[in-house]
Amino acid sequence: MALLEIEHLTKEFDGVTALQDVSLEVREGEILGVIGPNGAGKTTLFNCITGIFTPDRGTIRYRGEPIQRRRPHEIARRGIARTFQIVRPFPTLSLTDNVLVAYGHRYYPRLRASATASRTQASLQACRGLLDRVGMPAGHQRAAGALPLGLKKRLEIARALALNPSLLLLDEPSGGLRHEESQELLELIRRLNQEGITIVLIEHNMPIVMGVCRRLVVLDHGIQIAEGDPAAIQRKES
Amino acid sequence: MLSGYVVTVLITIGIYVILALSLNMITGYAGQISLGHAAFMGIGAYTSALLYTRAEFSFWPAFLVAGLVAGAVGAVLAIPCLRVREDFLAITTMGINFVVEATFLYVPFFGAGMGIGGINPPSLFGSEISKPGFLLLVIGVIAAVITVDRWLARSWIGLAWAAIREDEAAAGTMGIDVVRFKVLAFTLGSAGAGLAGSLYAHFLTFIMPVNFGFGQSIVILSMVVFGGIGTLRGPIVGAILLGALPEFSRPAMEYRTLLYGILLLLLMRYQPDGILGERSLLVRGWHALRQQAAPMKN
Amino acid sequence: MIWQQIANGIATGAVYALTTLGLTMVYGVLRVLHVAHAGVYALGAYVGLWAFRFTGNFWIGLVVAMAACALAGVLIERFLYAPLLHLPRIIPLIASIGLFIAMEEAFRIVAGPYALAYDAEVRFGSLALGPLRLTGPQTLILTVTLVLLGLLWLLLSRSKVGLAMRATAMDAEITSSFGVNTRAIIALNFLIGSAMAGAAGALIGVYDNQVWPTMGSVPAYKCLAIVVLGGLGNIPGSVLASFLIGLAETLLIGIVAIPFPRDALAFVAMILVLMFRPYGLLGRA
Repeated sequence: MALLEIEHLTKEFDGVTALQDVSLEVREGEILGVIGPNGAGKTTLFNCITGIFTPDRGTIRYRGEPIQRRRPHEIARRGIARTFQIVRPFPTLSLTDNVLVAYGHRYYPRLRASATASRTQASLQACRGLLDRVGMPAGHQRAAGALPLGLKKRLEIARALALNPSLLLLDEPSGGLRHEESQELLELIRRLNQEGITIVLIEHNMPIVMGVCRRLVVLDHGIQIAEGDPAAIQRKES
Repeated sequence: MLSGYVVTVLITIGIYVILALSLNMITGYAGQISLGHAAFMGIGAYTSALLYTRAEFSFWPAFLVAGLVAGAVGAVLAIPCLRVREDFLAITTMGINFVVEATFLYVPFFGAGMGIGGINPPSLFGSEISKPGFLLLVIGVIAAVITVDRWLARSWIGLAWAAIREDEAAAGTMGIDVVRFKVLAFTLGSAGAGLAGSLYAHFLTFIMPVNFGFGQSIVILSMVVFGGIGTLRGPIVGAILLGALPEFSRPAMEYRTLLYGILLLLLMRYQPDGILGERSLLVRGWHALRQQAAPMKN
Repeated sequence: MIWQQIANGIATGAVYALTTLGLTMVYGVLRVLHVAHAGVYALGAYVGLWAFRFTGNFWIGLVVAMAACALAGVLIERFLYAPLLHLPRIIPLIASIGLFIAMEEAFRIVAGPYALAYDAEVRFGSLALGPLRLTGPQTLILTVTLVLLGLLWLLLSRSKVGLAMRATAMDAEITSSFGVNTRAIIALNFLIGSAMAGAAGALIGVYDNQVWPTMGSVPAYKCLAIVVLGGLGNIPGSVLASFLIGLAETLLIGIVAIPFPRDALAFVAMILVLMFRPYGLLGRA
């Protein structure tokens, strides 16, 4: 069964079409690659799924429920987490606090619960566990803004995992990274997927895409021009 | 013993500490610039004054109701503020301040230009409390505000505010209902200002619209920024120093306001984090000293 | 009666337009809420008055005022805002408020706390457009405003410098990568904007026949409301909003006589408009 179904999704900005009539589905347990040139609408797609933008037309269903009119926090609480193309950890907060912010999603919905202490032994331990899980080296009290890019990207993944997501949207995780760093990230993505998280991956790095995705969607100028298995798409592209 | 004059000055400073701490919740913790904090102080002062002079409330219930009313109005006025961000928010809150002041000034119910007089200091066990007693009351309220402040900072609320301050869109995707937590910040901060306003009214015994104008908002905001925005110590120290400044600059009365303006300007230019902010010279120096001292312990 | 109020409204709107123009130009390139702009406006009135007393000629006073304010604007940009631009927005804002307070106090200390008369006899014909009659001073204000607006429009739309200014307002980083000296363009924005504020100060000084230290207090904040109403950084938007507020103030207060302070009206209008258009009348996200 499809975890996420997108039908006829259209989004315009000041008359410029960013996404036009895009329909696709994300299947439970898969790693779906979204590729295409710059400005193809890939990040807009993520922004529509996560509620940062409201689509002009079309529906997005998550586990059968339409979510295209939901606000970002409602979507996050349903188990859809993301990272950002241009990394945006909370710069002056420590690494632990960055993860803790997302870990708090179970407390925010009720005022009473959100007024309780946040840095309990249990929650701190959970956050440290998540930082370890993404391979973050020691020094969790540092401010996130001072981290090198590769670690910022890991931190964003740890933060996303704190939402305990079923669906993880990764926006160019390897962008700006050195080869070894990308390889490590590739391993991490595989491992998360094996642990049961469905992943949608926007990626420019074709070896990574070919390495982890079993299915691809190709966008160009907001239009979905191909969908299928990577080998077939590569043949068609060349 | 402290002279009556010194007590008067200390009470004024104490009220500013409450105002600075409450503004710090909105602007320092949740990151929402407010240029209209004095409006909520005014709403608290007028609520308390009207209840006391027209509805025969005694000080204590009037004081609490002033906090509640200011908080409620803060929550309602937060709604227009949610539609706008950053600079638009700053100007919107400034506009709210002008409109609230104009309402006090032009609506006869609020005493118009004459303001409201005949507000007595609080009574306890049938007799009016003395000035030192009032000072103790103010200190008690400050202690309560600090307690709430620390509790918020340790809670998920404080964390959600920090996330919104740093990156609103990212905070939303972390499951934080941005609207709700912003409204909460405006509500709590405004309630604090309302309590301070009530104290102010019963201390001065008469109030005028101009006490709660935009200039007053700037004074409060300057205190927060001067001390170090987003910290607990900053607004307290800022309120004490800038609150005491008029007393110390008495010999230079003629140039007092000029010096105040230049002080703000120079501080922002050379210590933009305030004198006790995380990146200020003093705090960095302190951390450096402690690090130097640390190896000696081992 | 109503036509006379409209004439007053147009004159008021023209002064707002001159003052807010500089504010919006500064915001366009630096994203700074330049409260001290109203200090520059008051400086224009004082310098204009001083130069008029010295020379006996209003026009020389106006030009000297504009030149002095242009210089003040460039200095403010160079020494106050430029080092603060990478910091949170509240920092330059507080610095600007500090400067504004200091300027008002400096005027009081130097020129005294009382209003000074600015009785320049400007022989300027009155203007009649059907039932609408503008007095001599009103015609003067409107003419100077329209001439300056026209010059600015020509500069922005017809010259290379204007193109660079518009590009810098859109995205300074990209513009500088095309080899444009954006620092100079920013300074030019301050220069022109401040000169216009100086002209507005001198004109209002003559119109009201008085110059006083805190004459910038109300414009300082009201002009921010007008700029936001028009759409921060949007030049046609702020001209439009200036005339709308100028007319609304004189008509609503003068004719309908609603018991509301005229200076709060701009803020009410602004808040109402922001509810429906969060980026102002002509502003964009």
